[in-house]
Amino acid sequence: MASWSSLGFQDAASPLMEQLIFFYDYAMLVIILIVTLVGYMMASLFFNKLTNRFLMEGQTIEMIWTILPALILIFIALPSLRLLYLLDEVGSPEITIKVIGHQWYWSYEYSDFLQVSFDSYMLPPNELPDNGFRLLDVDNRTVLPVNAQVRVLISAADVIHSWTVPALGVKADAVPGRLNQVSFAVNRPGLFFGQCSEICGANHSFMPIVIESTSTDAFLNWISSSSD
Amino acid sequence: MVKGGSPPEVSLSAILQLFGAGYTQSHLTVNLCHYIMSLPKPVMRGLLTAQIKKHIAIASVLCFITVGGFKVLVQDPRKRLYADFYKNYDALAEFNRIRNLGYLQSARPDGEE
Repeated sequence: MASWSSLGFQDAASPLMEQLIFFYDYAMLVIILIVTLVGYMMASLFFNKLTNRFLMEGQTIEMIWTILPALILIFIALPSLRLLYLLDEVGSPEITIKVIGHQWYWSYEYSDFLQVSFDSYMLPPNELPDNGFRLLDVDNRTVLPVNAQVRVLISAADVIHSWTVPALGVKADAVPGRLNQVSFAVNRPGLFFGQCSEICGANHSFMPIVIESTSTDAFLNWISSSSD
Repeated sequence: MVKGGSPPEVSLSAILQLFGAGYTQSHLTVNLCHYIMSLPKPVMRGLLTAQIKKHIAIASVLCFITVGGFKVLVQDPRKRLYADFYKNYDALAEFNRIRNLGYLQSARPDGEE
């Protein structure tokens, strides 16, 4: 999870987030190349002794500084598009859950086998346990099985919200009257936190998301006990 | 520059005869301080091209160093880190460890209802 002074990404908990991090590293490589090249050219200007007051055009340099950036952009675009289409794939999800955004809480529905639904409110500071996370913990967490492909259908009941879990590389707007679909698989058990990412009113900062990733047996026990 | 010896005394008439100037001779003697040397011709053309070639070479080396450094120090270690983490990862054991710490809502620690 994120903590103070965190600058980089959270550790990835899904294969898609791993790919996003690797693509970020690759794009940073290209950026460092460009910054080094341009920085060196700018620094060398301090030591330049050649001038030409009558310079009108330079066809060769124009060709170079048109074609080179285009090539660089192609090198960035190809892996980017690969990842973009990978994120859109929904390959045979084992479980589907519905997420509805409200002012100011999330509600979840598990309708695949047993009808389970609950609301998820942020724990106020006076109800927070000693080992709880302020502004992040909720009363009812979203329990999901580990290593299972999950489909999440996201919508909203009033205004636009956004459901996101950074460690899983997932973010989708919750739009009233619309269903947005995301798909992911959680690689490892644990707790993964997110916060509403679309301004939705006074308590926009106080409607977090907590995914509790458990073993398949624990998930089945939980869902059967929740439906009782 | 004169290397050793005293500078020669050359008469102006000798110089004028050498160049066939046809001037009237003078009784002045010119004491040249140094021999007349031929300097190498300074480079007059292609200065920008030479400068560009030099800077392209230096920029290429710099870019190679910075990009290679980022790849070797950041990108490859991160990929290796994820690969090593999941190589022998036991999700069930990790789940039981977290469960027994009491952090989960859906599954309580061993011995607890």
